[in-house]
Amino acid sequence: MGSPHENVNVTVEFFGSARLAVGQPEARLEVPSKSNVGIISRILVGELPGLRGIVVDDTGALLSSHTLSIGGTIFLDDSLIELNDGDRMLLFSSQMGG
Amino acid sequence: MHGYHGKLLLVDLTSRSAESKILDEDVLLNFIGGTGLATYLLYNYCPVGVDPLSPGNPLIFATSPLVGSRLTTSSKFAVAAKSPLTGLIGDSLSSSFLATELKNTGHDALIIVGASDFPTLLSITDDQVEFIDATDLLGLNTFETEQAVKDRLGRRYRVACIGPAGENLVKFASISNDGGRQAGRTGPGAVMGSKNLKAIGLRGHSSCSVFAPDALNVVAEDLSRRSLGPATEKYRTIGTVENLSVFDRLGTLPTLNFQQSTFDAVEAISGETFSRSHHVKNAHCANCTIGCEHVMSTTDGTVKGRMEYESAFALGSLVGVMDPNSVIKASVFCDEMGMDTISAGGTIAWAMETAGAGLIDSDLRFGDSDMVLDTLEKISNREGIGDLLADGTRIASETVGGGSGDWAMHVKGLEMPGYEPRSLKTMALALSVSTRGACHNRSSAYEADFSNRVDRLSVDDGRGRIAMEGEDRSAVMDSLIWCKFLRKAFTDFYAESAEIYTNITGMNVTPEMLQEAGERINNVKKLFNIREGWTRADDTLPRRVLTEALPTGIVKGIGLGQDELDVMITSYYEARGWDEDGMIPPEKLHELGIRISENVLAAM
Repeated sequence: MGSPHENVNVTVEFFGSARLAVGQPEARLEVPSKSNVGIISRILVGELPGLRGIVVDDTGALLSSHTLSIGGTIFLDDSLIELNDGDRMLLFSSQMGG
Repeated sequence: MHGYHGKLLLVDLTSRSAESKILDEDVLLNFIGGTGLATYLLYNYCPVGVDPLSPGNPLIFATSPLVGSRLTTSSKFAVAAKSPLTGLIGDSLSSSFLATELKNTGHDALIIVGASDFPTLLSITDDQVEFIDATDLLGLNTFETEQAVKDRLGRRYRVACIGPAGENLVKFASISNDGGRQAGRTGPGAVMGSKNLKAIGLRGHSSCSVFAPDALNVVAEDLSRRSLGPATEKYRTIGTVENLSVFDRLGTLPTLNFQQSTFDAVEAISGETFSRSHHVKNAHCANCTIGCEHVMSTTDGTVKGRMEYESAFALGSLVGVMDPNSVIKASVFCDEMGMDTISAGGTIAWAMETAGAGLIDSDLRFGDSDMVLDTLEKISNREGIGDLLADGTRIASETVGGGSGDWAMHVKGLEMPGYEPRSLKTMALALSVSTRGACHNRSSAYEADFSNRVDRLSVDDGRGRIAMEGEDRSAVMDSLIWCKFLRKAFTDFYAESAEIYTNITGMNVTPEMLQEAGERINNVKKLFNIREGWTRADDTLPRRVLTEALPTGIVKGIGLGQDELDVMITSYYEARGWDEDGMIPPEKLHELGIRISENVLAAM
């Protein structure tokens, strides 16, 4: 577990329109060990500009169409959360209707 | 009266007669329209204990005050009857031009009772009703039937019809309209078939006035704008099939008859694959700005049709099929024959496992896509093993016995949808208590599971209130009627809906009144079921769900015990103000203004 000023390496898995936009199933990111959805989304769009306008808005904020989750049980919001090296995040639609 | 006609049309196929009847304003105000109005009418027109496939079972179509307006996604109608699958309340929704045309006949609802002594095309032109011999339409699929009716009555007629599955009383037969849209769940097509009613052609010229058209236009434009934003992005870009790969990763994708909740071959039938390799075009219902429908084609281009998550899961992972072309063919075939894809796939999945256990003489095995197509055809024609499976999972398992009921994946007789209850605990509760059986759409409880609001892998006594609130909100959506895919476009659902309702009808409705209407509608649904013999024992889940832990993925080892389900069910009854047996006490009925005398629900 890192201190507040350390960075950790995480993997973000893409689903749906995010995957189609970046053309790959996942990406590795270096992010602060204490992060929230805004921090992650700005780093993400910096690495993968193809997400802009589809998943992330012009300010770098995650659009409400999508959600970032750790393990599908923790959903990132504005609160800072402790991340660990090797964490896997899932980026998928916030609309789960079928 | 604005927004409503204040009339229903009652058609008796036995006597070949029809009459318009007044709908009291109080009834409309308290039950809104759509599913709510259909529930009220079903309670009053359905004889207690009636055989669902006998002439006495009423088949009800209901529009709503929003139908005919400019409001996006509002061209929808509800269908209700006593379900031949569950023996309880059966209700279903469908969309597009038929809703508007039904309302244009000058009626808010259509009730069909009795049965014809010859195959019938029911033609309704405003107040004029004709009973036309439809013998020549027998055997036509739903698309062919719709075209044949238009050829006969005129191209501007809108058509509701059944295919061979409905004619053959397949208990999960659907009613088809507007080019393959289906009122699919709970078997209304079988009820229509039992009445010897092949098709209904509708044409009308009556429109309803709007109380405050300028104010409504402002709201309508704003809502249309929001419907094109992030709140509906998935439905517009890839469609509901996007769920496949996500649900697989989250361990919520029912696979191999719910033996596991991940599918090794999910990539082959994922939304991303469908989108890249099979997508032809987007389509939309009448009066809809979202355009959620994604028409897919087989690789060789010979079969095209709409593809939704529920069809792809039921005819894909649930039966172990990994060929997207086969999934498309199976889904389109169900639409042509007029069958609910969820129940069709669920029943075949049960048969595959049962055949593997040696309890039925069949070559059906998981993953055999050719056998899926062959079995769907047998079901729609009730041939061979198809005759057994056409009665649905519950009856088939009761017929075969040998313990096959342990893996009969239904609730109250309705096959399970594509949301694994062991890894979606709020959804598990909602599936168990739903009045129409295993239904994901009458609560949308999975929304809580896919959020920080709850831990989806554990249970607590707060789930009852969440499920109840989801059900009541869904009842209002299904009664106004809004498409569920619009739900995240609202910032304050009840406040915005109340404003719109008031703008249309001139009846001053508050958000609290709408919310109470949702509660009232769900209580009347429950009253219908209680009258038909429902007991607490019916609020349960399949034995597999309650005894086997999930074996794969990030949810490996997660199960759901009977004691855990009981905690949630008890909390649901408490939230509803029902007693510990799930019965509705008189004071709750009084609170909701529900008065019943000699099995008749009084207008309030």
